Amino acid sequence: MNDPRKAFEMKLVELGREDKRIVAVSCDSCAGGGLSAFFQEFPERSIEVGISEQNAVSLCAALSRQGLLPVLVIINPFLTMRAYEQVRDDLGYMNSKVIIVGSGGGLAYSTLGSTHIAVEDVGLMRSVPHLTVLAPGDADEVEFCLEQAIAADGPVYIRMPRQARSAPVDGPRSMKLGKAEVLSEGTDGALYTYGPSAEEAMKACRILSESGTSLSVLNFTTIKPLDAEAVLAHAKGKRAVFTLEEHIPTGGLGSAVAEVLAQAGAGVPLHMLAVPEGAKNTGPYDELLAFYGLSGEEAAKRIAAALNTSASETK
Amino acid sequence: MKPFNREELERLAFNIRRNVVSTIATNGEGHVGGALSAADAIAVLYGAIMNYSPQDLQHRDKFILSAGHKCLALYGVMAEIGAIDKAELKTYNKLGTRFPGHPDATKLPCLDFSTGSLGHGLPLGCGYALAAKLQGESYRTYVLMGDGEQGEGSLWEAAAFAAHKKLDNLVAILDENTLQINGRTSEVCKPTDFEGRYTSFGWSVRSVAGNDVGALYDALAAAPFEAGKPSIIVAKTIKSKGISFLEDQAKYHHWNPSRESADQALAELDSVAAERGWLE
Repeated sequence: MNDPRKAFEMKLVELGREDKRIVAVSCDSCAGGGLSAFFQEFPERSIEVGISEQNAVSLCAALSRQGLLPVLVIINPFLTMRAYEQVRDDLGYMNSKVIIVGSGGGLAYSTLGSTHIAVEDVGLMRSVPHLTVLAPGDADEVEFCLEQAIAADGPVYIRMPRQARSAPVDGPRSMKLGKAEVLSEGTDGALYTYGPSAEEAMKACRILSESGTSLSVLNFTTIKPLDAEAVLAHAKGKRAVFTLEEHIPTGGLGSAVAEVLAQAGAGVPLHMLAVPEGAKNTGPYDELLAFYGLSGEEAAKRIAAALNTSASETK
Repeated sequence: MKPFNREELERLAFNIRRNVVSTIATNGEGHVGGALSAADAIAVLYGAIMNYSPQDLQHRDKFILSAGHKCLALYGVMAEIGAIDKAELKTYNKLGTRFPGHPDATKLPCLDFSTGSLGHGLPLGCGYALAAKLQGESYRTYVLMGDGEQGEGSLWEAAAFAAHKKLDNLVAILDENTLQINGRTSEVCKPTDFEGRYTSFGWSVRSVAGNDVGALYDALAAAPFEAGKPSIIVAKTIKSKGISFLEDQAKYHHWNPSRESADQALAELDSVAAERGWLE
């Protein structure tokens, strides 16, 4: 188990020591957003904007035009939804090199209610021109994403997880920007996921393997640009494709995968394991995941049921 | 900053107006009312106040047209100072033009930022002003806003930030022509005076006759009005200033003139030009 926010905080300081362009920008999100260490070490490169997200996004766009590299951290919906137009106009259309970090993606703020969950953000951010969309799940992925975001051309959105998670697989990882990470290879179904759901996907994969069902599991830490090649390659010959995400079906990875499969005429059924639109149940994170059928155990049941159905339909 | 020269600045403002009107007369509809009310402020900025180079994006003074719909005045001044080719204004409203109905800095690097959605300019101005402080740069940042635009909450986020960060290298101009699309700003939604609002937000405020290049020059040359505070000039202007039959009427916020109306407007400009000896 490792804390993704702590990993973000330490990595930003490390990168800040090397790259003097980096400025950290907080909307009263310094402590919760993992900026405290940077603010402490580099006060002259730390900007507190207060609770004013629209101002913060536009301000960062102008900072970037002067050669600074702002890393702006805001609680997710207040960034991706309240300031959406600023993100689209001032970062996207202007191709401003700003890293925007939406704290607590998905159901991370599981007890706080519908105002604080972010289950529409991926769809919104996928629509912004020039914006790279990254969604790490554990500490290693967070560090990887931050490094890649600094090096990338143009603006980058990072959907930050909040809960400490285990890595979805043991051993060394093969993460590459713009490429899906193959966590497991199987023959019956393909399960595509990202973020903290990757750990749940691998739990589902292990549960199903006990009953003889094998899954390919792919981790799309880069959601945009989507690794369409991997989407198609691993769907080939499978009885069904599944997506698992803390996002509504509209606009999320499920949507993105559907676009790729349909346009290629892949002809494989797609089942979106997603948060239903308008969901507002609250509770402990793991229990809420299970409630929406997104925990490893619940996902395994839904996948098994779908594969059995498609098997009987095939007969 | 150049010394004040009334004749030169009035002529520049006139030429901006002529570019605005002739572009619309030739190519059709545009936001004429605000472009004409702001023409004098834009003339004074680019004609005398700003340290501006079309090529030097990094070090030049910055100008953000927060009320992006007034862009014909910006295109008009760019043509006059040679940052763009005036002949290219004939592409306005045509497919593929570099002169859309709201300014696009990705098409025109002589501009500092794309605008059009109201309420973005002051936050952007804060970013440029803050960058200058962080990087030890001496450029100034100027933001021109509309009065109807003051309804945007994002401006007030930025107004608070600018005062808190003591951005005295930031100068805003509020083009108070008192009209917005639906009528008088006082009737649409203007709960209190702008001078009082900005003063209470921690800005240093001056009100000037906003269609008088002398008054504008004096105020802009005096900024910052107080050390450690952002400055704002509330420019009392007349919407569509300079074309008598369009002046002070909300319906000319956006204008798609008939041939006759366009000719009438151009004739009025021609008579001013003849009177002042400003024939092209």
